[in-house]
Amino acid sequence: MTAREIENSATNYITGNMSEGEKIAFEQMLEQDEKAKQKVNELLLAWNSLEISTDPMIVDEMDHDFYSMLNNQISTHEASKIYRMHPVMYWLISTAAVIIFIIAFFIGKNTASSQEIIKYRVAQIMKPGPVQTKVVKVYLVRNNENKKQNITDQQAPLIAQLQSVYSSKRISAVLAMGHRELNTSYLKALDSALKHDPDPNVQLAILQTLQPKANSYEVQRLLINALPFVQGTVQSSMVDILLEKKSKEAIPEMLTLLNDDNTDYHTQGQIRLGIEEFLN
Amino acid sequence: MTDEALMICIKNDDLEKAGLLYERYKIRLFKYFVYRTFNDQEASKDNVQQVFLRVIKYRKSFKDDGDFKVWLYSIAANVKKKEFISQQQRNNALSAYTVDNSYVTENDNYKLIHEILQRMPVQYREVLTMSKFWGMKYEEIALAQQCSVGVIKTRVYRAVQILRNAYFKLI
Repeated sequence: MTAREIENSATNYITGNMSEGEKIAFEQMLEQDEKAKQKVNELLLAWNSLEISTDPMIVDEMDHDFYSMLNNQISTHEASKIYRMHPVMYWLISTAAVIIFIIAFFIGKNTASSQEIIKYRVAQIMKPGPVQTKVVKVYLVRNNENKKQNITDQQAPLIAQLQSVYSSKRISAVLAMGHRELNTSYLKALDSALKHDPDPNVQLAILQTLQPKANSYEVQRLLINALPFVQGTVQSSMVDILLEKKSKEAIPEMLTLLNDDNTDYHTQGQIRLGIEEFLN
Repeated sequence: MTDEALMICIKNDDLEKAGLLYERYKIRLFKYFVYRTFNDQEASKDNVQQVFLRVIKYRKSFKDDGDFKVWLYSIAANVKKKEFISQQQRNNALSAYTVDNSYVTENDNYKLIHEILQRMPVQYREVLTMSKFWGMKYEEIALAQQCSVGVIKTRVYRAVQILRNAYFKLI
């Protein structure tokens, strides 16, 4: 063994990095080699000089402090265990709460009242001359109606415009409808407006729109049904259209108007002449 | 029971097992801190307490296949680092006051060791304390220091040589 090898082995020996077998072999070797033994003893002396003596009183205090701390930790841990919910339980409860919330939401959505809400604005129409105040209800919004009629996106703005509070807007909506094909939803909207619109100009605009299409059965039915709801010029114009189209279905309604004292005198004469022409 | 088996029990909230580990490591931890705090035994006692408090507090972070001695050493090194920082802050606060006469009370035994270790480069001093006070094998020191075993063997060998030379020079 070289000096370096001895020193290496001695380092392993004193630092405890030798197996039991290696240790015994090394000690046997030291018994035979006095020089090596001396070197190892020197190293051991230096190594053991690092030993630090400990004060037994300090160690006792340290033990006391440690066991107090440990007991404190154990009691804290036990106390926290009592109130701590198992993580699985926590997740189960959270999931159940979310599911209940979702179910409640859908039940509420499906059972909520779908009652129709109609909004009106009350307007006062002042007429010149002797003071006359007419209170009318202007039909503004009718919710759910659009849904029920299944109207398309293109039709919706015109029908909504027909419900505007401004006559000019309603008239432009009516005229715009005239450039389009009159489907059921348009006819329904025009029918309602013809019967209920407070402005005769709007009613006349409706008649102007319907006149070119008055050959159709639906338009004629619309005009006949609306006859008792209108008065004056508008009624007279409607009678004109129906007579021009020789609508036989309009005769009973016209006879009713003829016998009605409230019907305009001029309109009655118009009806009379028209029916006579019809009969001839 | 091995240290690791005991630590797994503690990890699984059997905190009473911490007493067994404390009995196994209290003296070597205490000596380690005595050396690192320049023989301040009161501070070393508190540091040992701190180490075991952290062992309990951070027990869940111990890996089941981990080496307990290496894990404990890393906790002790952190405690020492924090102690060193707070010591420096205290010293800075006290530096405003002037002291006419200062007395150092060190026993002769520790003074000799202190002087020997002070003469040693840091990397050698560290492996020497790990080997001497912690009783760590080369492999464990290599794991804690994140070095190869060969490097640690060389460092321990050189540290022992320096220790021997310093010792015989001083006595």
